[in-house]
Parts: sequence; structure tokens; C-alpha cells
Amino acid sequence: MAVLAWLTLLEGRRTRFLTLAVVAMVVGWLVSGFAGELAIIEAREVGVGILGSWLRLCAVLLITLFAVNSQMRELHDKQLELFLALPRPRGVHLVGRVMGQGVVALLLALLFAVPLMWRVPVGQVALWGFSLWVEQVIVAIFALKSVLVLRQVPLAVVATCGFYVLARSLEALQLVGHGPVMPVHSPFLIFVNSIIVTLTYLIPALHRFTRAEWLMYGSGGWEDFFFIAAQGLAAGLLLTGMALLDFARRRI
Amino acid sequence: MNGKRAAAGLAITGLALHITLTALQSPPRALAQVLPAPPSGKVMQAACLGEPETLAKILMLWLQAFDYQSGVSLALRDLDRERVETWLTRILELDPRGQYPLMAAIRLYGDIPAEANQRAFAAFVHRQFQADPDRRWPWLAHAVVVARHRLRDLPLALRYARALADGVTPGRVPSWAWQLEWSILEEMGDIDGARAALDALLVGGRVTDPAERRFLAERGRALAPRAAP
Repeated sequence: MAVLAWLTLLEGRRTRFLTLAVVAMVVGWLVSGFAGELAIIEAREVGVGILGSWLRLCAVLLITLFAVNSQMRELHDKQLELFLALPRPRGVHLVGRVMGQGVVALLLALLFAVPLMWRVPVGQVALWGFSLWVEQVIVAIFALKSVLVLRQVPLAVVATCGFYVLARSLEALQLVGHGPVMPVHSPFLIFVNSIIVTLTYLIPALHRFTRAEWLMYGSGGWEDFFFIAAQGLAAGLLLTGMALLDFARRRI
Repeated sequence: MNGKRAAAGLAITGLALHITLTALQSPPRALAQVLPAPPSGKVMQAACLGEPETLAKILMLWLQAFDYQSGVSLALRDLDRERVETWLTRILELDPRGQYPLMAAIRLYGDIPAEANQRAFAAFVHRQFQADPDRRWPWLAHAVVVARHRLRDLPLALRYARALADGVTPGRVPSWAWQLEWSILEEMGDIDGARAALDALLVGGRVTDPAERRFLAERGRALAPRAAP
């Protein structure tokens, strides 16, 4: 497992993943600085809010592409078949890959926390960085699972992005579906609302992760930390378990 | 070698074509756009992907820059006031802790030299103040100044000053913010009312600082001679 994690990290270095991350960070820093200059008041809030949201989006997109690309290369190079042929449990391979993605996600979260340190209290940046790491790990596991099931880069990327957008907008969809002007007795609406409610039990509530408001107003606290840790653990176990099931059924 | 020449020829042809097409196009004309109606609050909540505060900040910058678009300087007074108000309301709904929309209402749009606008945006700030007085009081204090010095509407200034005094929690905002009432009453010529307001401050125990109490008592005494017929 440790070897696989190390190989994933090495791959990150060799594919200029870090360079791309630094470019995203610098672009975000410039854009948020510009936006902050435009603001008449609340310049700090505007700047850190835009920077935080930008970095969050970049981190998730980068880890998705990296996880999909990494797993797809392994499929194409027949490395996966080689690993599966070795006399060791299949789960070891997948967990090793997840660990590798976790380390890459940790490095990315640490890197993206740096430009925020100057304008936001350390505790809030630490919470934001921790949340970004957990969020990335969840997305990376889903991306790995998507590749194993779909075996196509565009499909896996679209599926992961769809999962991510859904996870961040489920609460808003729930609120929209139960608005005062909605036809509450419509069978179609009842059906859709029941699907949305079911999804909330299966998909992590990513709308509560990595909030820009923590950076703007310093409103993050221990409650958020424990929620993210618990939600991350639950989602990580669920997604890894599902990926292991797919993996176990795979034929060489 | 031939391959390289062909590639270079292709690139140069493409570049020449691109330059020609751009040169043939008519120069861009700046057209002022009408401020669109904002989507509903729920649509905005769904569109922000769980980050309403960031969307609020971006929308505020966009709205602030709407009078200066694509090289056309559109006078702020030409903007649809009701739409601006609805946008500001939506932005506040997204980020209730944000002060920017209230500042923009009273100091940006409320600065337009048109009485109807100034009254409307002062009333907007008054309405929004009631939702979170201790956070939003500076903008109602500004509305008092607008009503008193720009609109010269002392009864309106008095109404806002009283709302400010009644709404905020003493100790959480500076004392001057809830002591505007008596000075407006004095300016209105209602000396008895001004004294009563000062007495209420002193007797009610809202002013605890001895120096401030002494100052207000002296002001009350200074008002007294003028109150005599």
C-alpha cells in the first residue's frame, strides 16, 4: 500500500501537477486581489471569499483530473492486471491508490492554504484546509470508482463533476422543492422530492464543507470540524467499500 | 524540410486570414444594457452551490460596476431603482452579514441627486436595519444624515433616529448613534421634546459614563433658556 501511495505521489510530481496547482493559485491570487481593489468596503472579505471559492473549485477539478488520469494510465499500461495477478488481496491495491490520492490532496490543501494565511486567522485557514483535504479525498475516491466502472476519461470526469455539483446543491434543491408556491400534491413533485431526500442520505453534504464564509467572517468552529471529520469518514468508507465491490468483481 | 515549409505556410496563411477578418469587422460599439431583473432567491441559492456569501460578493461588484459597462458610462439615475433595490435585497438574503449592499444603497445609489431616489434608498436601509439592528446601524445613521441635511426632512430624520435608538442594543454600538433624537428635536424647535429626550437618556440609565452624563446634563440646561417664552 505504501509503495502504491508513493508511486501516486511520484506520478503527481512527474506530470507537472504541482506546476498547474501553483499557476491556479497565482491566478486566483491576482483575480481576488483585483476584485478586492474594486470593492469600496469589505475589500478583505471580497478578496478572501473569491480566492477561497476559486481555490476550492481548482483543487477539486485538479484532483479529479489527476485521479482519473492516473487510474486510466494504469489500465492502459496493463499495470492493473500485473498487480491483480500478484498473490495479495485486491483491496490492497485500491486502498494504496486511495492513500496516494490522499497524500496528493493533502499537499494541494496545504499549498492552497498558504495565500490565505496573510489575510485570515490561522484557525479558520486550518479548518478550511482540513475541509478542503477531506473534500478532495471524497471526490478522488469517487473518481477512481468512476474509472473502474466506466473506463472512459470523459465519462468518468463528467460523472465525478456531476456527483460533486449534486453534493453541493442538494440542500438548495431540497429547499426549492418545498417552497411555498410549489404544488405540494403534484405526484411528479412528490416523486422528485422523495428522490432528493433519498440522495441526501447517500451523498455527503459537501455544501457544508470548505465554506468561504469561514474565511470572510471567521465563523467556522469545532462543530464544523467534527461534522466534516464524521461526514468524511462515512463517505470515505461508503465510497471505498463500493469501489472495492466493483474491484472484487473485476475479471483479469 | 517541405513539411516544415508547408506548416509555416499554413500558419502564415491562417494568421493573414485572421488579421484580414478582424480588420474587416466593424469596430465594437458600446451599448448600454438595461439592468436585468434578478432571479428569485431560491434560484440564486441553488446556483451558488452552497457558497452564497461568495456569490453575494461577486454580484455586488457586478451591480456596482453596472453604471460603467463596455465603455459606456450610464448615469446611475438611469438605472431602474426598483430593480436595484431588488438586487440589493437578494444579495442581502445571500449574505445577511454583508454590509456592502447597505453601503451601496445609501452612499452610492442614495447619493444620486434625485430626491425620490434618496428617499427610496433611505427607506430601503430603514427596512433592512430592522432585520439586524446591531450590525446594520451605521447605514441607518447615514440615512438620518441624508434625511436631515440633504432632504431637509426633519420629521423623517427624527423617525429614523428614533428607530435607531429603539432598535440597537446599548453598549454594542457607540452612544452617539442612539443619541441623535434630541439634537434633531432641537433643530426642529421642539425644545421641550429635546429636553425630554435628554432626560430620558439620563434617567433611563442608558448613559452610564459620568463624563457623558455631565455633558448631556449641561446640554439640557443650555436648552432650557431657549425653551422659555
